[in-house]
Amino acid sequence: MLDDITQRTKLTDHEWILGNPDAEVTLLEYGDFECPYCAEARPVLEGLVKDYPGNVRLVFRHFPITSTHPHAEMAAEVAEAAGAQGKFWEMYDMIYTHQEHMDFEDLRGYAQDIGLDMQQFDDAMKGRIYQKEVKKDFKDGIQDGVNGTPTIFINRQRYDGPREREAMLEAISELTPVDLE
Amino acid sequence: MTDQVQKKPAYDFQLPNAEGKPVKLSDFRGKKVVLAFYPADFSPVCTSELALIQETLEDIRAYNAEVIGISCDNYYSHRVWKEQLHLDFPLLSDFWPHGLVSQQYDAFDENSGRSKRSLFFIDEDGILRDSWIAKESRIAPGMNIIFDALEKMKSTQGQEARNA
Repeated sequence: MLDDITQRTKLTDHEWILGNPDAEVTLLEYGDFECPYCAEARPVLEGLVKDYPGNVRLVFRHFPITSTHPHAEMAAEVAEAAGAQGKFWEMYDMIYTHQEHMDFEDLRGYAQDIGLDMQQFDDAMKGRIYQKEVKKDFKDGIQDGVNGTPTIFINRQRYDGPREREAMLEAISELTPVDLE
Repeated sequence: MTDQVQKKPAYDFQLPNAEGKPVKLSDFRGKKVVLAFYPADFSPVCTSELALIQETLEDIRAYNAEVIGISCDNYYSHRVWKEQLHLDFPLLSDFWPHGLVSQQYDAFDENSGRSKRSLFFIDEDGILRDSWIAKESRIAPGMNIIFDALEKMKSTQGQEARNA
């Protein structure tokens, strides 16, 4: 059926997960670091993970729209490079809160600020070794039915409602067996 | 998905593109066509939808397919928006007679005077194979809709060739 809004790809052992990896509620975000709506959604999504520890986890996959966001793909690779050093979510916060400065030198500065090993970072970026991971996420996003950024799935169902806390809590109680209240 | 639209010739039309030059649907015979009707240039959801299509254009074209965007905006508006979004596929203007082509595809919203957000999939012979119309205008189609339809057309084609 063509009008499918169910996430098709499976989560693997190589996802970026914020919160309890065994949480019953999974918010999967396909995001673009240069997208203002993604930056707006960040505190809402992180807030849900923080306020319902154990119950809610956030999984992030890259979906850079390069034609309108020229820095997005590089930013995604920078986040991967930070992730390789155990600091994906620090970089996620850093980029989303500094969207007005996303040239490579700015991104490299954030890497320094969060304390990455710069030799390792520079080597990784020079070889563009994370480009493949970013492209794979993008392809998964197409299969899953991404329809804009951010696209959010709640336990595998695409959530097209407002990206606001109350509306999302309501959707979580509708789409999952978990009662967060 | 509406079965009744399948295997009917798609309504042919001629509309101006963003440069004001006339473009006919039948000019694309020999290619699959994804007709993407959308409500309005510059609006947030349409911007997101068309940018996404642009991002996947290479993969869409790998199916021997072309995308055509259509709205009821005039072509001057199309020109600026197309440049802004770096769109590499044609945008056609259904401005006058207002919404005539959109109406032929049952993709015209009488209340707002805009095209409905919808997709129509036309094969190499100009036959309408599939369609999708947004249940709510603010919700853009998942990119899986486009690739599922293209895959389906590809497999149907193979089937028909075997049966011939």
